[in-house]
Amino acid sequence: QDRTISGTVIDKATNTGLPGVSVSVKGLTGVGTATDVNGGYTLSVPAGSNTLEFRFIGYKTIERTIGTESNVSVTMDTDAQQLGEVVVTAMGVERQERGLGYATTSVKSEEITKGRTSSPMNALQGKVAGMNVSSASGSPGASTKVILRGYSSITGNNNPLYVIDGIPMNNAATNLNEGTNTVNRTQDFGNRANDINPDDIESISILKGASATALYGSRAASGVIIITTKKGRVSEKIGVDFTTSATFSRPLRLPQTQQVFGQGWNGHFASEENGSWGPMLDGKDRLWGNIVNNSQQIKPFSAQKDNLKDFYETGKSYINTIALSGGSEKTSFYASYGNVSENGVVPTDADSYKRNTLALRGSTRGKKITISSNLNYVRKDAKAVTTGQGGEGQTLFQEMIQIPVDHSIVDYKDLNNPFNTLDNFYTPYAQNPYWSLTQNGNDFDENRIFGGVDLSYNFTDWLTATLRGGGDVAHGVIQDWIAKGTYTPGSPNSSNTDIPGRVTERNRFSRDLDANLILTANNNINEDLRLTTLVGYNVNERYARNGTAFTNNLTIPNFYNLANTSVPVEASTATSLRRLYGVYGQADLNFRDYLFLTLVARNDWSSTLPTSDNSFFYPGINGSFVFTDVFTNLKGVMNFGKVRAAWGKTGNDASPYLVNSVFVPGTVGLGFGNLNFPLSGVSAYERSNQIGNLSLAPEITREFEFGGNFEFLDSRIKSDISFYNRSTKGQILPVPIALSSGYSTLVSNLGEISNKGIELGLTVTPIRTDDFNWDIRYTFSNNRNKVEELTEGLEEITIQSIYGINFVATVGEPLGVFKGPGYTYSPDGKLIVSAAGYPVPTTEKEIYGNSQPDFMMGLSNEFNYKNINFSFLFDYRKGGLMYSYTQRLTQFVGNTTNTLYNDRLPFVIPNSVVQNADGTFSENVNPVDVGSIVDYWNPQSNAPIEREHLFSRTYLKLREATLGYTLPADLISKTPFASVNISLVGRNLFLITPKENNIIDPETTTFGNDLSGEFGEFAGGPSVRSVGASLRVSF
Amino acid sequence: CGDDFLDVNTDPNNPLTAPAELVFPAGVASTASVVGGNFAILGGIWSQVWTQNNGSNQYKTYDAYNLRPTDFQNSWGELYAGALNDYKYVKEEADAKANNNLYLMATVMEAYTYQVLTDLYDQIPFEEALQGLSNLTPKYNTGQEVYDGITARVTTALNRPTTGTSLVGENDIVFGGEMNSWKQFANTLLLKIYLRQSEARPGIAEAGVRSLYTNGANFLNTDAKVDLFVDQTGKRNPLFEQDQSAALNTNQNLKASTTMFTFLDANDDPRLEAFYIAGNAGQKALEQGAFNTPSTLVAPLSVSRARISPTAPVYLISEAESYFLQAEAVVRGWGTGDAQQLYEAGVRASYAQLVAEFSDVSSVADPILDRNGRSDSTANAKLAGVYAFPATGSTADKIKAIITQKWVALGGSKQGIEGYLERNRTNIPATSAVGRSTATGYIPGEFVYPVEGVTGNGNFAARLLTPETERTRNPNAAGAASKTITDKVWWDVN
Repeated sequence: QDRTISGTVIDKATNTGLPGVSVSVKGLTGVGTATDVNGGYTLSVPAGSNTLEFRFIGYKTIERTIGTESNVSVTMDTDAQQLGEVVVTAMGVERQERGLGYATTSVKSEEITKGRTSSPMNALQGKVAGMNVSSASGSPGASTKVILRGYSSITGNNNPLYVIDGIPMNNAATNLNEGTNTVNRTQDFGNRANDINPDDIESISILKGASATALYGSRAASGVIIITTKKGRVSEKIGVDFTTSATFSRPLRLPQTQQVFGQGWNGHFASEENGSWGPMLDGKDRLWGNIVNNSQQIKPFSAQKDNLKDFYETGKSYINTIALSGGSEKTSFYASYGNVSENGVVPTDADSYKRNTLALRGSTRGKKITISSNLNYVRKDAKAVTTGQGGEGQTLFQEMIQIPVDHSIVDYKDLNNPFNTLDNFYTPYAQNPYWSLTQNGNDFDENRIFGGVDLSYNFTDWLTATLRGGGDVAHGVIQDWIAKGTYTPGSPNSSNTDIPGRVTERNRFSRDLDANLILTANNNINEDLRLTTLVGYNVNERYARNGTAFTNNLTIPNFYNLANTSVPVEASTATSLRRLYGVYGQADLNFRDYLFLTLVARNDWSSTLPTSDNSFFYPGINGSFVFTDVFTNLKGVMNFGKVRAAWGKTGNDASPYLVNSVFVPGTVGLGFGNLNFPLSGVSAYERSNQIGNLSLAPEITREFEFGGNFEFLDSRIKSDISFYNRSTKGQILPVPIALSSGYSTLVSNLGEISNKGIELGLTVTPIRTDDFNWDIRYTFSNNRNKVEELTEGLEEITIQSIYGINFVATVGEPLGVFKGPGYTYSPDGKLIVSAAGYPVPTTEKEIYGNSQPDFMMGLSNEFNYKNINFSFLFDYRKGGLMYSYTQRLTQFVGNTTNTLYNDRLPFVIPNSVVQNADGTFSENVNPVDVGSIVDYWNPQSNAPIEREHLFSRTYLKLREATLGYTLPADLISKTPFASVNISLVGRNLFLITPKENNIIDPETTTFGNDLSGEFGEFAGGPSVRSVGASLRVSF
Repeated sequence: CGDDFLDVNTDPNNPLTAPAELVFPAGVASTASVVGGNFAILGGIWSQVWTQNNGSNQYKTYDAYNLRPTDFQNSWGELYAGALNDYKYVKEEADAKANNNLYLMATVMEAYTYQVLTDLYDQIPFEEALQGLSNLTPKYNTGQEVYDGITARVTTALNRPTTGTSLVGENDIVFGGEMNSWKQFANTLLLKIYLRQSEARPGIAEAGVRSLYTNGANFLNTDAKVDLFVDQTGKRNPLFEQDQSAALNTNQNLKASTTMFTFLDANDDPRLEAFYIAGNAGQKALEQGAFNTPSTLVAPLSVSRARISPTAPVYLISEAESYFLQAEAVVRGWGTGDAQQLYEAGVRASYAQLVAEFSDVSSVADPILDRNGRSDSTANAKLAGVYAFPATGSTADKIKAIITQKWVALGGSKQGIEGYLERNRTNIPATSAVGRSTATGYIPGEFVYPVEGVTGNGNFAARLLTPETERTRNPNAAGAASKTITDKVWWDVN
């Protein structure tokens, strides 16, 4: 007589149900089933049979004798000998890696937490082929830019979609200015993907291609990063994991200054100049600065080599996490508290970041119903050093880099010293940096809750419904203040304008909600062919509201409240609401575990598109073939081989409110400052300069990729190679139009951007013995980006324009081309100079180069000897240009080393001619004299010198190095500890750049974490190197 | 989910439409911000009221005639997309509602703005401009065509019947809704447009001026100005906000130019104190364009700098300018009236304007003694002395007196750009024969080629360069874009 046996198969690693496990009766063919999405199964077992066999690729096969019980549940463990890990794919579907038709990389918790960075994204630097991760600065809590397979959108979003435990996450970056095209007072408070406590992460899956992400439709064009958090594990007692680390940082790269010439201008000493265009440093005592109370300071006229370095202090970072977890076969829980406390290298707590995270997760499984939930709370308190240029209050780094090389900056520290006050500081052209450091400031405080609930119901052994709902709600407040400052009439700097003081408060609220209903079915069509299908329905809403209020003319100094003013407070609000719903489906066909085919499709309806035409369809297909399973005679050489191919289509939705043309409050941008209505009680509205578009569509990305995984010599050599060709059409762009049309931009879908590339991952294990293991991991990515077309009549689109440099998209070139004034030449190739003796610039700007890397590489070595682990990771980037305002200003004031050209002696510009009135040319004999050398380096008089403000982004970094020791088991067996690990960690230990860049870390940006960030930096702060130690204890 | 669920794409932050009465002041503010901001800086430098400081950098390219196509592209954009596009909307709405008052106001502001543009750029988009999606690459019209176009538009608007005060009321940030003043402004603007053509198309100029007088036109006897600025960030006079507020880290960029300085100084003109704030070495000027003078030779803080008030109005056409325009029309025999009286009214109006703005500067407010402690320095005293009208002189002498005083008055009201355009038309003040304002034999007030000029000695700037935004986005800009900074505009035939 047949009897019905049911039960659940649990994955030992995650303590969750394992779907797709083949359950059969030993010795009987044709009797078997597969587990459902939750790992459950029901099987009719013929009488007389008493052994069940559980088989799953990558796991150790289990044979289980059944007695009289009708419920047989087993826990399966991975089999290191077997190949093909389980990875989390779109919509949280776990699949064997061997079955995937596209490239994916999964990074485990150990890799994420090793370097002890508080940012989970920074921890991925150099570790994933095709993933470009760069940190905006060395400031605590700074934002991280993550770009997968290059930029596809000129003005849209190029950040991947972050999904944490099945719920899309809000990755907004927080800056006082929000806009990324500004150079005024930028403050980087980070992006929200960095809010997650790395110690809570189980794994991160990176889905790069369109076929891999098509299930996410309109949000997936830039790839998807799927974060899976740690869950409770089956254990007899409650496990406790405690991790603590302390790391200390110093600036990694500061501008290198020339050490030959001192304070002055035009070759002369001038005590009020903020620059080093003076005479040669001679070491002799010299009076300097202003005469205050009939006295003046004296110091030797010699270089202060470390005057910038001495300003900085040692940064500190403490990261602690305690996690409790446990579970039985039916229920599990995980709870953790994480605490990050960081204070960066800038003196005072002006660069500090505190983060408290609380995570609660639990699940329980009934007969038919499984429910699990996770809840995360994050509280951040941060202060960020203002970068960019001042506006009403000066900014720290901008003031620092103009200081003459013979000054000792730390000597300015005491603001009560009469020589250091606003009135008497040595120059009227700059402000004491300690004033902006200590008198101006900001405070950012954010509370955030995100998480969700999963409810699953097993209709039958092969059909399951899952309802997954969740959200991400955050509220942040930034307060920013600029101290009131007055100049005493008659004092040396009394010609300066009083600083009225300013206080700004910005409230940022965001609420993202997401719900999915998913039906999953497992069918064994026959013994050889298995079909897994899912269909789903998704609703998404994203709402944000920003309120900003500010006031000037503070009445009581050093008191920062909006009420402390003599003028009306100005306030504005900005609300944004968008909705999306979609239906989607996926079918996976698995033939004998070596041939796989997946079909995906999604249709989206979006609120941000015109209501008449808001539906978009995103299909995809991919397949893989593990050929070594068929051609088994290959196994002598290649123990595993798989080829794969994929095609897919995804989108990048429009932003809200681009469809209609609107009126905006009256405002006029002046060269500096603005004129804003209401004015004296009169209010005004004007036509927006942007024309809306009633036929807007999403940007559509199509991508084809193919590749394979090949493993040799008993998997001691593993390779993963991908080729892709991606094309994004219908760029949503505020297309710049001639202003004589009455408007400056027209929202359009136009043009095409392509990204073609190669990604290579290689793992080699040169030595593998019982005691010693050496692993080499290498990643290589090469992405060729190209603007294929814009639209007729539009040659280029300006993304960013700072001083004489434009950052543009132009046809036939990679996205992000730098253009600036060029040199002009006579017909016989000689440089043309003007009557004033400086090169005559080209009328039209010429191309200097582009920001895209030629290639990127990561190389890590890991050594394990008994309980000792040693690893280090190099990160290399080749090529691409960046703009550096730090270079510009440092050069303008004569502090850079390139200004030592010709020892600052008079020179005739080599091979130059002047144009005569009749159009002919004659040799230029007019030298650039000592007094004019400063103007030679100044783009105001010598425009092509702008080129000197850009340099190569090439770098080599020792990104991470760790040395760890795990206490031997026999040593701790008598202690309450289950495991103890002590590590020394270092990050960004050294940086090598080409000689032309002795100014700044080429990763630095002050322009946000998207394409405009590729422009470069505007008076950004230094990056840092850090070293420290960590301790992990489990009990 | 139904369509209602997705119907959430109406911008909650900005309205889809706005009343014309609220759009008009936004347009006026755009015109005033450019004319009274960027162009006031350029005009002050080019009309040699100010020169770039030798201790800072901001306006070196202006002073050296070393402009790039990116310079002033924001001003161009603000005038087209900020001002003119709003006037166009206001005119359409006014037409639809048969509001002739508002129609005249918007037409006058539109014509005023177009004249500024065409005077500086010559060929500009006009007939095909401002059509949005219907024409993204408007064709360029010649300067003459623009002049004829704006003349016709203002004349048409003037011929429509208007009522005493406009319903716009406080939204009229020029005249508070006073329609009589708008008509005067319209007439004075026409007078200015006609007179500008006096050398290039004397026949058209004369006929135009005569028709104004024949029709009994009234001209401005008050300032056409925008006067609602307060000393608060974002609400200040645009010139002050841009050049003097804490937004820029120094307020020393604009220094007294020897050209204007010596003229006022030689004539013991008390207005000098209203033009300039003394440096730490007393009142002192820097030669035009001498911004590369080593600071060891001339300490930057020792030189007088521009006196700019955060609450001063922006003058579109000042009362003084109106009188000088009328005086010239009379002297040329095209208009009727007493040229001397009009000339003297112009000088007095200039004094009065500076007294009103800088009443805290004692020598201006009470100019009984001049700055050197000598003699009576009131306008009346000067008009009886050094500034006396050459009543018995030739037409050329009279025009020279009028344009010279107009140059000073326009300098005082920060309308240097108009002063410079008028010099290009009339060559008054003349170019110095000795080349440098520091050379022996230099006649105070005569123009010198800027020391660091890059266009070659004597080649004064004659126009602005077609902006880069037009060069790269509008193929029809090619013709205009081929012009250089020294190519004269069409009416500049001397």
